[in-house]
This record gives sequence, structure tokens and C-alpha cells, in this order.
Amino acid sequence: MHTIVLLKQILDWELPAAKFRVDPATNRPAEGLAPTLLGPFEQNALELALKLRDAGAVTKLTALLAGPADGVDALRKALAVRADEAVHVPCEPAIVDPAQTAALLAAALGRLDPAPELVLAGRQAGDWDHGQVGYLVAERLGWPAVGLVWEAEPRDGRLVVRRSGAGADEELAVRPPAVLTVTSHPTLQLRMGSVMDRMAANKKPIVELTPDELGLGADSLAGERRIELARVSVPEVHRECELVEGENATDVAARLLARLEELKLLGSSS
Amino acid sequence: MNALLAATATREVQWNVPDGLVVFMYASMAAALAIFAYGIWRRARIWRLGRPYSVRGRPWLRTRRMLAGLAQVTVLRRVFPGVMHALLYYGFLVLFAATVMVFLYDDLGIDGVFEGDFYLWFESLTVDIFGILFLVGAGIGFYRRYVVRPAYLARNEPWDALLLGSLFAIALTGFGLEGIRIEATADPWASWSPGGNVVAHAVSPLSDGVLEDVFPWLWGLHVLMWHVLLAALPFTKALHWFTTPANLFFARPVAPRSVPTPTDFEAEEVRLGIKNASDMTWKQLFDLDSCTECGRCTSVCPAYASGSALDPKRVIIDLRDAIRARGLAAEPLAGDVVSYEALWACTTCRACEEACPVGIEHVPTILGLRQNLAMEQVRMPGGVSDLVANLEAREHPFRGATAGRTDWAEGLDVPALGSVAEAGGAEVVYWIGCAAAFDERAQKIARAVVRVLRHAGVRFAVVSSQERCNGDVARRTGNEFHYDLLARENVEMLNGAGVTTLLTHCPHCLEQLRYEYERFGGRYEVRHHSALVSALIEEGRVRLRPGERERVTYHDPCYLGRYNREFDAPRRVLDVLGVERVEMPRHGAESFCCGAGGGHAFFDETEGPDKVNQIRTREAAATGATTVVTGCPFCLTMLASGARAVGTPERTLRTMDFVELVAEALDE
Repeated sequence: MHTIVLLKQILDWELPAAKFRVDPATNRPAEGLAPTLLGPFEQNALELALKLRDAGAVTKLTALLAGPADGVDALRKALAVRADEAVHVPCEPAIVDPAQTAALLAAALGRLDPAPELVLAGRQAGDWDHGQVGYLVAERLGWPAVGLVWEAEPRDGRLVVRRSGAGADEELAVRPPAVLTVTSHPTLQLRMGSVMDRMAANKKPIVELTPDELGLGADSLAGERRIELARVSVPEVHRECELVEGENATDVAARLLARLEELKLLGSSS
Repeated sequence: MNALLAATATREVQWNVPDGLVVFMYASMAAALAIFAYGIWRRARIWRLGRPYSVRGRPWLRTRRMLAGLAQVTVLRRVFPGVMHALLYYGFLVLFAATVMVFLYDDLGIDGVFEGDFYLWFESLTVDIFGILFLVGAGIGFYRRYVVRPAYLARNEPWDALLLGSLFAIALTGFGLEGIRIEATADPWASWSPGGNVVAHAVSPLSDGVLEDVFPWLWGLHVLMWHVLLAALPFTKALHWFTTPANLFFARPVAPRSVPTPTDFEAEEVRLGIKNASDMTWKQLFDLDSCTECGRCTSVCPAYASGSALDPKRVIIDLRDAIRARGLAAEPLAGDVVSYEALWACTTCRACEEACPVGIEHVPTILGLRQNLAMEQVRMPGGVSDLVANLEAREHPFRGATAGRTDWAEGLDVPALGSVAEAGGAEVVYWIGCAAAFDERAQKIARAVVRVLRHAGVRFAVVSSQERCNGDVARRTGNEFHYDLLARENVEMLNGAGVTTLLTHCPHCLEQLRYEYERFGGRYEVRHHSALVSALIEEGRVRLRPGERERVTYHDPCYLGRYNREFDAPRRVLDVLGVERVEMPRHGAESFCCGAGGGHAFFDETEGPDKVNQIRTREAAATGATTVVTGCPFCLTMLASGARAVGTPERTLRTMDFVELVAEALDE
């Protein structure tokens, strides 16, 4: 089963909120705030693909990314855990509309050899949080999609997948070709590659498929747009700090409790 | 008996030994020497598997170390076992010399060595005294091994008992032979042989006939036991008689200390740490055959003390036995012969190497094995893979840091490296390090350093914004690949900026910048803040207000003390501050690790039931000090968390970097 993992390189999510800045000219995060990294849910998706490969269900593993040049880092990371191929669809600047991203990815999927049978995507990109690309790709391909999966297991030509619903774990079976969006789970922490694999990854070629080659040049891509980004702003947070002092620890605790009650910040304790 | 001989003090060599037995002696000696030679050849075959290792440089220092070893200085650093060993050692040398005299006299015909005053003073009196001391040494050995039974002297039976027992028995039968001969021949010089004389009195009730009958058998036994021991030497820990002096000469005499063998990532075939014996240097293999199994390494190991899986003596012995048994088997040594848990428990503190009397370098071998786990087998604690992922993504080891690299300096208006270079140079270029950048507690150290520098009127600049992690945590967790990348980038940046001298408050940065970057073309004169602050005080550039006479104890960071040999500067500063400085039992070169080294500041999966930092904090608290002072941001973190764990709300040890005390006391 040729399996494709959709990747995205995003701004470091550990960037402290207080340091986040928007460049008003581009309406995007300012440059140079922090490094860009392979998104956390994409890491989970990649790990799930590796687990399926360990289980013998994957014959070829391809990492696919549509985005700016720094996406090559994400693809190398996939190669370092022994993805067989890495495909980059370069587009500058990063596309914000999930429909456009899905258009590029679906077109690229159509070019892969052998024909893909399973697509794994992160549940959402950790930067814009739309959570749409996986489903939009499924729609374009006409494949079933299962969302928020954290485990998958091949069984009798089908994939038995697990996802968490409201208060219960669900087990679903889906017959490939299919799209799964993957959520975070302790078992899906992306493994580290060996140094040999890592060094080999640096030497492997990255296949480039330009939007033009995919028949999605500037004009046609613009035609795919469904959402327009109007404005990005950082919400203003109002913070107040009050120091509760007292004679000793017991006194401080009593005063703190009194103050919290005064502010009605404690649950009713009738 | 020849009348002439009777007039001059001597004795008959091989008295009452039949010719056949003499022939047997030479035959068994030849066989023993042949087996001995075969054993050495077997060992040498293993040493020759090793990679190149250079013993060039500092020949005098090496020779001095070897001589100190031969003179028993190194073993005597521990009194009780040291005395035991010295008695056995000097006793053996003298007894051996006595046998050589017999050979010189009997086989080479040199009469002077067995006649007259020399015979009486040396061959009789001295040899007897040393023989008695030898027996006393063996007795202490038995007492320690089978009565005191320290855990680190874990028994390797029956071999330990056989070795000690055979030494004892050889000496005892020697006295038996002497006593019988004295009694049976009515030796006129008996009083010159106090040991033999006691035996002579003891056997005097027996008839001369019985004594003469027993004598050849005892003589044969004495000779045979020695020859068996000789033949067995290369196959037992007694091999150290020969390997130890050589190993003391081979051991790396200068910094950098305890670093893993560098990896060439450009090589055609890249070796990822120690997979099997052929990935070790011949010195590392020689180390294994130098071990005396004395257990001093284990007795000082913080990981062992905490109850973790690491026992440094076992690491050496297990590697030795496994390599002898399986040679170059394909299975990796790491994780098999030495367990995953043991390899990850090491804090790289070097206490083992400091304690080892025979020059074994445990840490580079442990790190080599750890490299294989990390880089090839990809088996590492979660904390380590997180650490590496963070280094790769953010070039610092602090996951989830809420600060940026330059936040520590907010409001201080510190000049950045580039601008100062343009403005005509700085006296001091201050390397901040990741701890002070990303750890809130450690930020205060950097701010205190800046206060002191400003107070002293030192023109300085900070590297801060251009720094990457120095790579120490990557290197010490076996991730040499990531270390290599970080080190090269830092060196390129520092060399590009024309930096030649640096200041740091972090011993791990110090070790890298001062010693380990040299391999990448980074040659800097680097000072720890203790050296600089101590110098500024001496020059009168820092004025201090007299403070309270608080009781303070100083914790030596391993990478400042054992790695960089700086023990005095922080203590000098504390003394100037006027505090009451008390020492913990383990301090200076024998200091006990805080538990953070070897990347352990970032993972605790392999810790034992007791925590290294808590053991150390209890030791600090037991001095009665109210503050424990150190000179490393990682020690500070470990001691602070130890203080919270072992202290009470009423009495918690205060933990400070010494420079914070200086900043508090500035007379501004």
C-alpha cells in the first residue's frame, strides 16, 4: 500500500505568546521570530505511517509537502526516518486557504507512482488550525475520510482505526483508498532516526513538482480560492498582578483564600 | 659441611632437595613461563584489535605518574586498602629479590649475594621482615574481603580467594622451609631470620628425620604454587602487576579529559560509537586488562550510590570478560554486555577516574557505548530524545522555554558582541550559555555577573544572541552528530567575530570553549567567572561591604573541578566575602556529583531509588551551613531541587552561585 503523509513546516509552537508579532504588511507572522519546524500533528501522522510500515502494511512511504522552501527541512526529517520518497510542491508565500492547499496536494497525489492508497494528514496544521486539508483532499479524490485517528491496524484488506469520541473510544473499519487525519497520542511521538539514516537523508533527492507542472499556475490556483485572509491580529491580554503578603505561610494562605473568595474566583463553598 | 663456608655466614642452597626435584623445578618453571607467555599473547591479540591511540606528549608527566604508581602513592590515597596493597607489593618485591639472589648465586656463581653481611642483613633479616609484612598484608586483604566486605569489593569467587590464598600460602610455606632448615641444620645464624626462627622453634619437637622427610615435599609445593600462580597471571586480575604501570603511562595526561573518541562523520565508513572491541582504542582495551577489581570507582560513583544500575567496576570487568569470550562478535556491546540502564545512568562526573589507582578511563568507554545506543541503535530515554529534538529545532536544550536568548538582559542594556568589536574592543567577551538564557533561576547568575563587571569597570560585550548550545549535553548523551553540528557552528561564529578570549559562568560551556572546540579550530582563552571575579577582587577593582558571618559550604561542580582543575578561585572569593566556609566530607577532586552531568539535568528515567542531588544536598546540610554555594547553573538547579526535597519549610538550604553573593555584597 503506497502511503502518503502530508507534511507542513510551521512556526515554532513553543514561541512564547508574548513574543508573537504580526507583520502588518503581509498579515502574517513576522519573520525571524523563531525557527520553523515540522508541525506536531504531522509528526504524529508520520509516526502512524511508520507504525503501519512496521506492521507490514506499507510498501512505499512518501512524504508530500506543499509550501515554501523551508518545507524541505520537514521532508528531510521524514527521509531521516526512512520515508522512501519526498515530494515538494513549492509555493511562496505560504498558502492560507485550505482549499488551495488541498488542490495542490490532490493534484500532486495524482502524479505519484504507484497510485497512492492511503493518505495520512495531521488533524490540523499547528499554525492556522483550520483542520480542513485532510477532508478536502478526500473530497477531491472521492475517498472516505476518518478524522482524529490515533491508531490504525491492517486487517483483512481493511484498516481498523481507533479514534476518541465523546467519552468513548471508537473503532472503525475503512477500506483503502482512504484519508485519515491523525491526532496526538502518547504512542504517536515521532521516533528518532539513526544517525546513518539521518546522514543518508541529507543525500537523498527531493522530488519537486511545481504548481505549474500540476496545472495550477498562479491563475488557476487563484480560481481555487474559497477563503480570503482579511486581517491577523494579536489579541490584547490584560494582566494584573497582585502580591499577597503575610506574616508566615499560614497567614499568606488565609489571606490568599479570602482574596480569591472576594474576587469570586473560587467555586461556591456553601 | 664445607669448613670455609661455615666460617662465613650463608646457607646451603637447595638443602635436602633431591636432584630430581630440582629438575622438576626447572621443568615446571619452563612450563609456567610458556603458559605465561601464551597468556600475554592472548591478551595482546585483544589489544591489537583496538583503534589507534597516541601516547605521545608529556613523557615526563607520564613517567612521573607511572613511578608514583610503582611507589604505591596512588593506592595509598586510601589508607587501609593502600597499606594492605603496599605490604603485599613491597613484601613481594623483596621476596622476589631474595629468589633472584639464589639464582645469581647458584646458577651464575655470584658469591657475594649470598655470603657474609649481605646474606645476614638482606637475605636473612630484611627478607624475613618483609615476608612477615607480606603475610600481614594478605591478612588485611582477607579481613577486608571476608569480614568488612564493602559492597564495591563484590566478590569474584573462587578466584579472589585463590589468588590471595596462594600468595599467603607461598609466603607461609617459605617460612616453613626456612624454619625446618634452621632446625634441622642447627643454623648458627638463626636469630637473623626472626620469622624462620619462630617456625624452627615450633617444629623442634619433631625429629630431624621427619623434618628431612617433609622438607622436599614442602619445597616442591612451594615451588609448584608459585609456578601455577605465574602461569595463571595473564588469566587473572593479577595481570595488573604488568599492565598497571604501563596503563598509568598511557593514560591521557592532559585536557580534554574523559572525552569520547572523536567521530569522523565525513569518513567512508562512519563508526557510531563503540559497537564492539574493534571500535575501542587499544588503550581502552588495555584499560580492561589493567583493572585490579579494587572497586574504588564504584565506591565513589554517584549513580551507584543512588542505587541505579551503573557499577563502573562491573562495566570494566564485564567488557573484559565479554571481549575475551567473544572477540569481535556482531552483537553490539552496548545494551547487552553493559545494560541500557547502566549506560544511561552515568553522570560523566569523572569521580571513578579520579579514584582509579591504575589510570583506567571509564567515562570515554561508557560514552562510546552510549553513542552506539544513541546514534546507531536509537535507544535512549525519552528525556534524551526530547533534548535532541529540541537541540535540532531550537539549538538549546530547554524544552518549553518561555524566554528568548536575550531576555535575561532585559533592562541591563548590555553591549552585544558586534557593536563592541566595532567600538574598539572589549576586555571581556561574555558567553552566556543556554542555562542563563532559558532558565529563570540561572538568569540571575548572568545578571549578577554583569553587575560585578559594571562595578569593576570592566568593558565587556555579550555573545548571547549569536550563541547556540555549546553541545555538551549532546556529546555527553552520546549524540556526537548533533554535538558536531553545534560545535562547528559556534566555532565559525566566534572565529568570524574575531573572538580570542571568553568569560563564562557555566563549567560545561567552559569545558567546550576551552578544550573541546580545539578540534574544530576554536582556540580561545576562556575564564570561568570564579577566576575573573577572584582576580578583580585581588586587583582591588571590586569593593565589598562586610556581610554577615553566615555559614556556607561550597559544592565543586565536576566540570569545573575534576575536568578543569579549578578548586581554589571560588573558595578564595568566599573567603574574601568573610563567610564562615565549611567543607563537605567529599570536596575538591573527590567532590560528589550534583546529579546533572551527562545530560541528566534533562532526564531522570535511569535514576536509582535515591536521588544523586538529594544525597549531595543532605551532605551539604549536614555541615550545618545555611547556604550551599556553587559555580554552575546546573548544579544550582539540582541542589535547589534537592534542598526543597530534603529540607523543611522552616529550614531549607539556600542555594546560590558564589557570584550572586558577591553581587549582594558590592559596596556601591
